[in-house]
Amino acid sequence: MRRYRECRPRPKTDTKGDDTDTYGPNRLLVVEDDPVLAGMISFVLGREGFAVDFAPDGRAALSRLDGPPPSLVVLDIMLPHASGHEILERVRMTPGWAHVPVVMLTAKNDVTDVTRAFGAGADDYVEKPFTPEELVARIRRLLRARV
Amino acid sequence: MTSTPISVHFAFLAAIAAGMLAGLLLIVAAVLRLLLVRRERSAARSSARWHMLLLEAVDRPLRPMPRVGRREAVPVLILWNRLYESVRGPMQEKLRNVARRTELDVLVAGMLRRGDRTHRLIAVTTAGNLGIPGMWDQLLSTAQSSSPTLSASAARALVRVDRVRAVTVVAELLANRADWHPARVGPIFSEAGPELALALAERLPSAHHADQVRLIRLFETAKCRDVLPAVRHQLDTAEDGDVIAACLRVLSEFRDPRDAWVVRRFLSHEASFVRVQAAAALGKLGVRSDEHRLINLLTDPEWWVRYRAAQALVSFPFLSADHLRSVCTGHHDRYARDALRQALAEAGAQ
Repeated sequence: MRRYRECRPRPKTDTKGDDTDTYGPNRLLVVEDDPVLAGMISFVLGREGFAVDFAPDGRAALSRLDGPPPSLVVLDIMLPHASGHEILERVRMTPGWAHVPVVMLTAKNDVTDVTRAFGAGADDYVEKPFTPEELVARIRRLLRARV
Repeated sequence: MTSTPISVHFAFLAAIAAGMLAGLLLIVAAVLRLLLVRRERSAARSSARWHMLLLEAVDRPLRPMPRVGRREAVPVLILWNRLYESVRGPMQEKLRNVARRTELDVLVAGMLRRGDRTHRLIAVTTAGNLGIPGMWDQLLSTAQSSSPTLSASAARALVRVDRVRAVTVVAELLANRADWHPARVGPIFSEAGPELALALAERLPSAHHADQVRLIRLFETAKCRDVLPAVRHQLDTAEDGDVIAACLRVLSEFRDPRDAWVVRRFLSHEASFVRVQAAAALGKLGVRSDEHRLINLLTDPEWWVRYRAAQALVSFPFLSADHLRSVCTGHHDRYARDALRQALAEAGAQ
């Protein structure tokens, strides 16, 4: 059974084969349970040349930690089975994933969520509803900083 | 040969009829279920197809778009609204442009005229997001409908179509619609800006008593400080306990320390529900010298007043838990001690 939908619309950079491990520095994991929002993020990031793997809920995201780490994680907070905060804590405790940049998707004006996310090791956050250009810019900044 | 009694015949026929009826109901339920599954699958297919079409159209403004089929209308409009409300900035304008090219506005106008309540609700939401001035009259008429959900959604759409023009109309609607849920009213206020709350505040002095209370309560939802002068004026002149209590709730919501002296006046009001609100408000606005006022209130005959006074004392950041515990043990009144002990326990400071 496929546990993740792999959405790679029109990538601008090299994307060889179907194996997600071959995507190199532009492979992102997006954890988002809303299929409409997930599709939108996939479209926006795919347009910018990123390869996107999706985890549609908290359980799927946690099982993803057994595999190789992506370049960056975009993580929603309100998720079925495990919250974004729980996933973030597990990410930071997992060897290989501990230094992967994480961008949280938070509800507008939810200071508590933002504070808690930064406390648990989030690198940045984007408020929903979001500006796609802003999300891309923040992801690029974190990836540049990592290089 | 013995003849079968008529009652046995009757029971036999009744059993057959009941069996047939049960079978028929089973078939009807199965058919309805099948229809529902087919409709859901069809909606999911339409949604998946249009999801990519809409997103790709955002980047290709000259690309011709297919027409939305009659059966696709609802899933496509729901999808478009969800996409639109997921984003901010230039992407929203691009999605509006896609909607015009797909003639969603024509679809919406038709649904507003002829649709059932669900279709009209979707149409109203879309019309607001599209912001088409030509739909103003249709939206206004929908905003005056008897359905609270539909009318409140139409009022919000009016604000989105033309914020300035909507202020007077929506203020009139808000003043008269007691059936609108605060959860639907909140977004209207936040999108309309302070002008809407001020338009309501102007209506306050001339409104009937019951409407006054409701209007003042709406100010809590509006979260607009600009109405505070009107509320203070109302509190100065009000004699009715309901109006006073509503005003005190608003003042406590905005936490302006200048209002503390007004609140103190009502700590000894004859109506216990006013004293309850005054104690709660003083918990948010009070200063160190208010401690003794609230301690006095711990001996009030009404449990709720004692309880709110105790909560107010516990909420004061300048009073330590140790100090409050000593007040509690040293108080001569058993009920006062109970109230304070409970408030301390709730705050985890017992």
